[in-house]
Amino acid sequence: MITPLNNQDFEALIKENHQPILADFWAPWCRPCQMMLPVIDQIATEYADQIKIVKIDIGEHEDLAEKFNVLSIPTFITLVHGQEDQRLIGQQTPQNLKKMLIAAIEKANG
Amino acid sequence: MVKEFPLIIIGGGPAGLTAGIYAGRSQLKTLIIAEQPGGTIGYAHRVQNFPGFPEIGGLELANRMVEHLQKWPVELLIARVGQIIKKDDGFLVTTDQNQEYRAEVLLLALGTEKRKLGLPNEDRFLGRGLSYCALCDGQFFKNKTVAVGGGGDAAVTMALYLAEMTNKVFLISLQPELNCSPSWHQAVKNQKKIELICDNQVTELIGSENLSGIRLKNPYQQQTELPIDGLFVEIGSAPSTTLTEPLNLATDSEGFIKIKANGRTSQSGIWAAGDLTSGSNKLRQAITAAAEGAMAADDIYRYFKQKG
Ligand SMILES: Cc1cc2nc3c(=O)[nH]c(=O)nc-3n(C[C@H](O)[C@H](O)[C@H](O)COP(=O)(O)OP(=O)(O)OC[C@H]3O[C@@H](n4cnc5c(N)ncnc54)[C@H](O)[C@@H]3O)c2cc1C
Repeated sequence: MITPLNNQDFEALIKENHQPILADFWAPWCRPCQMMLPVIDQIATEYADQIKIVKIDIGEHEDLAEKFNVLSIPTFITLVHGQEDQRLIGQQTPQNLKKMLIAAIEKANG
Repeated sequence: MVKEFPLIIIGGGPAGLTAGIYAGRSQLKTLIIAEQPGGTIGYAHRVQNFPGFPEIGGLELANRMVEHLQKWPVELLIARVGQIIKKDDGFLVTTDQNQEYRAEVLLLALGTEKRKLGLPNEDRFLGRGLSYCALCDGQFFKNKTVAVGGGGDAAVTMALYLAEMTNKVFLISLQPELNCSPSWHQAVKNQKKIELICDNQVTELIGSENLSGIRLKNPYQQQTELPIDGLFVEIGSAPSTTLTEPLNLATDSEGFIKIKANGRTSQSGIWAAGDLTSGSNKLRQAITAAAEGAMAADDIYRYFKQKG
């Protein structure tokens, strides 16, 4: 499922959620981010039961971008048990993203 | 079953989209495959040299071109082409998602890829203070100091855009003078936040986790190290050869595909248009790409008409 981060507290969302998280740092003005939309949709369907995707608009969440040291978008970060696992910066192929997700799912399942 | 088209256009920037509009108007059954419809012009902050639009944002112009194409019966597939194979009766085009299409003739309008600095730790600093897209990442450097590497039109517009949000922009050009149009030259002069460093070059990226400075080839104000928070690179581009190399197309010494005035390449059945060709006398712009796209599509129409 894709959850756009609105006013919720991201920390609380991480704590409540037991699945690995894919944090997608993006902005509406960013072309490579727009190009990733169909890829993210595809991944959200494929991994619906295994991963939670959180879309973080950096225009609205500058604090989170700073906290995660995001200086370029799109940036994709997987979080396992609340900790950063891997990150990918820039436009990605579905294959690259899937590799990162599978690693996070395997890690989460111990 | 593999879908067949008389014409497949690969690339959906100004060249591919214009060709698509012409092909649509000629009622030629056409498929455009483009990873990024609208193309590179979508990255331009401000476009002031496309007739009909005294000033327009690049993304808006790109979107308008896509909308214009969609008025005609041309299929647009958003996908990346991974392979082109020459067959006896045409071409087999395969996307990254393994979709296959057959074309009798091809029009390549793939544009170019940005040149990198070629420094050893470039990949490590990507997204850690190094960026190739000011429109995407400029916002992270609000009230900070950045540098732009490059001296052409694209680099200068990048610097002007960044000056709107940062404290200072060093514009570092390899040439003794900026290589941009005089109107941009004047705009740089008027923008007090831009400091021009000519005849110089970035030779090293410095920093631990994030980029914190760059080393210059020649001292600037007696220093070769320049502390900055971000570096944006815009040093031109070159055609990618991954797709085209197996097709054995004649190119110039810089790898741009040689075409005739009608867009034909050295291989029969393959036309090319836009930034990836050597056809525009090095004036690689939306208008020249669009013009090449129009001429190629027109010649392809004549080719099919003659064939009967
Ligand atoms: C920052 C910047 C500012 C600029 N400002 C101006 C300006 O003010 N005025 C101006 O006239 N020009 C400007 N330009 C130049 C202009 O953008 C280009 O000249 C123009 O876009 C070239 O058009 P094209 O169709 O040849 O290629 P592109 O626009 O680069 O389009 C290439 C197309 O091919 C697709 N493609 C590539 N590889 C594949 C693949 N394997 N599979 C599927 N699709 C693929 C791409 O997704 C895209 O759709 C600027 C360029 C930049 C970078």
